[in-house]
Amino acid sequence: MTAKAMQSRPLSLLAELTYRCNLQCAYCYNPLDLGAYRDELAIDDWLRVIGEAAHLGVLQIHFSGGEPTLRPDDLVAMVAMARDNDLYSNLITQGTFLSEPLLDRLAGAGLDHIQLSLQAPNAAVGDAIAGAAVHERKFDALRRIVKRQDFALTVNCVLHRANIDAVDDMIALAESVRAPRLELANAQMYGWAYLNRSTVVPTRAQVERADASVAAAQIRLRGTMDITYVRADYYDEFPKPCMNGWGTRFLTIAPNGRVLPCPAAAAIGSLSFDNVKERSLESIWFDSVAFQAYRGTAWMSEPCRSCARREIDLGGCRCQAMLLAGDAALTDPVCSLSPHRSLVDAILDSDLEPGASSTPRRI
Amino acid sequence: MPSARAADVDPACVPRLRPGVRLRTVGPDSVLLVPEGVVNLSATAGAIVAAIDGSRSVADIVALMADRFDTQGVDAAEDVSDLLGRFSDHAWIAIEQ
Repeated sequence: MTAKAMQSRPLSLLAELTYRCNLQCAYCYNPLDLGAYRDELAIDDWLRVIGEAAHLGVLQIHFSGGEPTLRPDDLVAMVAMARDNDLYSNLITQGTFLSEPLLDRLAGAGLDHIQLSLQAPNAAVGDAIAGAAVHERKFDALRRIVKRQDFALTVNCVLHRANIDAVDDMIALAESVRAPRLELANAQMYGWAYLNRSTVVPTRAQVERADASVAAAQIRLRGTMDITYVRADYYDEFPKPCMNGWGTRFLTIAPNGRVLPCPAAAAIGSLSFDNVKERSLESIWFDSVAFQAYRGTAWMSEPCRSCARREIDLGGCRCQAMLLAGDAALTDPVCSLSPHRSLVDAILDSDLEPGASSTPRRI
Repeated sequence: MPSARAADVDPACVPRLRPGVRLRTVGPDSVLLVPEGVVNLSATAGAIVAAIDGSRSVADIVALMADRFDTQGVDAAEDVSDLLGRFSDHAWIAIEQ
């Protein structure tokens, strides 16, 4: 069997249409140099790439950003192309532009699922986090999507220091609109979230309360509302097996056409990422230097290399090793066995300065 | 109204896939495409989901599976009931009582 035949194929493509967004959430995982992505991939390239992705084995495509509905005509065309290729399509949106006419067009194009994010269960906190008075408009979109019943729906809330104490109210809000699915995901510490880590990372007491609240709600609501919970990994003993392993199941296409093994990978400055304008998706997946860099376990150094958990954790997250310890090939510093774990603990142990503020995401 | 739990599945109920849940074949295998990702199905699970068409009752599906896999009716009923319970917990299947 050739190396290519043994290499797994991607199941899932994250298509980031644009990094533009009208909100300014401090926990955004997008890169800091948003202005470098102004030259966005044209629709003809996107449509070609969706065909290439389906041919490569991709089964699901997630449209995200930034805010993907800022390119509404292109989004509708991409959803239709996904459907033509028998792909499952998911729109990840903050919902401020989801008019009924746009929802009609997305339904007509065959969109399967919408993941709509709310910043908090109420307007005062939500609008403060978003940096704009948008909560009511988002909540209205949520109610309309539930009523339409033509899309699967997941309500999403990114948990962090400013809203994690309201997790019970968030669950109650999702219940009150009869959302079938709720994702409560602690902020992933990349991009703007990492820049703002002192105001984004929740305290240990906050995390423990939220863990208990969510566990109780998952039992209470079983069969009524499915609750997915993504823990705050800085508090974990072992790292998450990021992306289920580098270049094994997922790929991301950034707004400028560069193909990344994970949405935060642009932070790894030592790698250069190929562009779909210059190279086929198949060639990038199988043969590019970036996608092969951390595949498998051969790249690992100690303590991962001889660790009994190396096939479980897969070394954790390369981008996290880069951000925290300055080298993407190191063990994820979240791991309790990492010699760099103290870098994570220093973030968790630092007291929030009175009056500390976040840097709002801007483009 | 909440969906049924596995133990409560009434043989007369008619299950259906919820919006945003799709069965697909990939080569010889069946996968369920759901909001959270891709669920690999065993041959039995794939056959059960394929039989969910919005008109067959639970009893119809059990009979179909018993026939197809030549099992005792009891095992097929258990397989179907177990899958419906688990999949309705994930809101992939609706079994309105």
